[in-house]
Amino acid sequence: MIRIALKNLWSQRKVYGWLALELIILSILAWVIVDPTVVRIYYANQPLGYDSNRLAEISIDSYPSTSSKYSAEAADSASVSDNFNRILNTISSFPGVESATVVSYEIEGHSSWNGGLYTDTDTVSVTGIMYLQGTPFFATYGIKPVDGHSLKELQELGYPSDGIIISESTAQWLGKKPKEILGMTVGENQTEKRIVGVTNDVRPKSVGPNNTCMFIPATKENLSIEYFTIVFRLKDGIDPAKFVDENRNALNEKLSIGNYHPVELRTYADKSAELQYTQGYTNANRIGIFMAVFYLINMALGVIGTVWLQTRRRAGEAGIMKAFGARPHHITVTLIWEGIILTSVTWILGSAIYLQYALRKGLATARYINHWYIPKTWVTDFWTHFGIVALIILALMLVAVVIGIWIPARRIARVDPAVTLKDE
Amino acid sequence: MALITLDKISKLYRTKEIETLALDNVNLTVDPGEFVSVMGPSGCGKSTLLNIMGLLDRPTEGTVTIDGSKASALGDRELARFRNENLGFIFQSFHLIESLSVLDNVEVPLIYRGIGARQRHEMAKEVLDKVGLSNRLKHHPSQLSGGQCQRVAIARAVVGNPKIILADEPTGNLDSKIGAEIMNLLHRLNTDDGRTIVMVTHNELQAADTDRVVRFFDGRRTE
Repeated sequence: MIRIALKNLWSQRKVYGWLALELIILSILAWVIVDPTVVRIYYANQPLGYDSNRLAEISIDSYPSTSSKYSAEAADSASVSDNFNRILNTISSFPGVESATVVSYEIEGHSSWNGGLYTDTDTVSVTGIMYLQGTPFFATYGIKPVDGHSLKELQELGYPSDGIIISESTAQWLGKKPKEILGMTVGENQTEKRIVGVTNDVRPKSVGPNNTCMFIPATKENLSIEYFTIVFRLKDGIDPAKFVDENRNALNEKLSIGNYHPVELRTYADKSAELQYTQGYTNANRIGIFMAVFYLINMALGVIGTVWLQTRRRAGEAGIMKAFGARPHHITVTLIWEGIILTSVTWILGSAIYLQYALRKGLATARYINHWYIPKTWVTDFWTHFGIVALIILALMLVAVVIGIWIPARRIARVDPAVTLKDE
Repeated sequence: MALITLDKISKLYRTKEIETLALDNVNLTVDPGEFVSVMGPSGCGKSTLLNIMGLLDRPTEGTVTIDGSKASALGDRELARFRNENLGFIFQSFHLIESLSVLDNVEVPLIYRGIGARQRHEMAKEVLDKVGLSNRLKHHPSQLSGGQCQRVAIARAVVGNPKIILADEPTGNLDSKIGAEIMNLLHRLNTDDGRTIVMVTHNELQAADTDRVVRFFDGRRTE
């Protein structure tokens, strides 16, 4: 049947030539559309490294001295520190809250602290996340140690002022495994830091794939406590959106202490959505996916329409084949093989043409990244990336072509040969 | 025992507006080795009869029995196999597959019998040699004359060694000289190989040369 399919294709090459040209062009266009879409979808589905589904945050601000609500009595440093602790305790012990931590340059925040760590031989760019020492930062975010420490140990380590905790990828970029790097001294911004812990990889911004992080335990003095953010983890089974809706008023009231007042209470899902929208990530994704779907539908309709007409023209041939003993599936399979062979050849040609462009300009990559320290995956390996996307494009083209052949082929294969031979 | 038995065969074509009775209560038997002609005016049901005999179409009523097997008892798969193994068709318009060469066209029935490529080649070449086309193996139908096309069609019809050949006006599109050559070929297949042939024709002279003539008029057998 494959031999007949090949002979049919060759003998009707003038007719199939136009279809082949169409498929080559579609194959090239598919690269332009599908490659970035696949990369975008891949990165959007990469694990964040923390448990965002149970997180919410509340921002706390202080009334300025010009405000009518300002209290001079509550403005001295002892009162401020005391009120700060009361706020943290109120949240930590609020019904439904499992744990809470105070952060600066938090995960998914608009602002970022970008630094670099270096040894004699290696460097890595990292995103710095600062948290209040003594609060259960890692437990709240659901970030786990990978250096042999337990979570409790990780959180209760008495960090010296030069101690930092890094993500696993950061360790890899510094050329070490998690347990090997403990105690190692690295340079950071003209100072030295000692690595005291290693966690699983965390993506500090969901809009990018980078996962090189540095977690810095800080004292209240290092953090700004005039304006701060408390991130809290809800107990299992509690819906964050519902919690925020039901407790907004109560928290606003309870957390208005001294000159402090809550500014914003929201879930981490809302926080991520806002970040992605303001960074243009959401719109870029929507446009990209819309373009991809639009293109694929049009490609499918165009290809299906063309092959459908070509297949229906061969009803007479199907009648002849049936007269000599072909069963319906023989006819369908022969026609489908023609489509598969034609599609495969044109896919190879189209991909080879696009390859010349890709070798010069590269393949699609993620947006909003630090290119140098992007995790090494199939996306960053040129030939693996090319191969995977090429196969996806082949699959899409085959689906369109096979549908376009299979439906009319089944019909003509099931018509009585007497009818088709009469028409022929 | 008859090789082909048509018992009370009727065929009704129904569309939304019209019903056409193409065959009306036809009875016919054909013995092994017979060369039977079917004659009648246009529209009398000759081709319909041949299609039903060749299991290309199903009758509305009646039974078709070929070599002891009742066609109505066969499913689609069995019908296809039965056609492939027992029947060979020759059409007025040749019905060769344009995209295939002469050799490939003749091999078609063998492909559906699951015969391997090398054996198919040998069988097809042998038959094409018998019909005098061994020097046209790689030609395509568009490169052949009408007579040559019909000889290819005959080769295709007999390559699988079927017991029965059904020919629907095999010389209808050919001039008298070429037509005579084709008829000679058919007679050789009948006398030398013992094949049973049922042929629809308008040509009285050709029909007279066969063993028996069956006549139809308005879907009914008259002789």
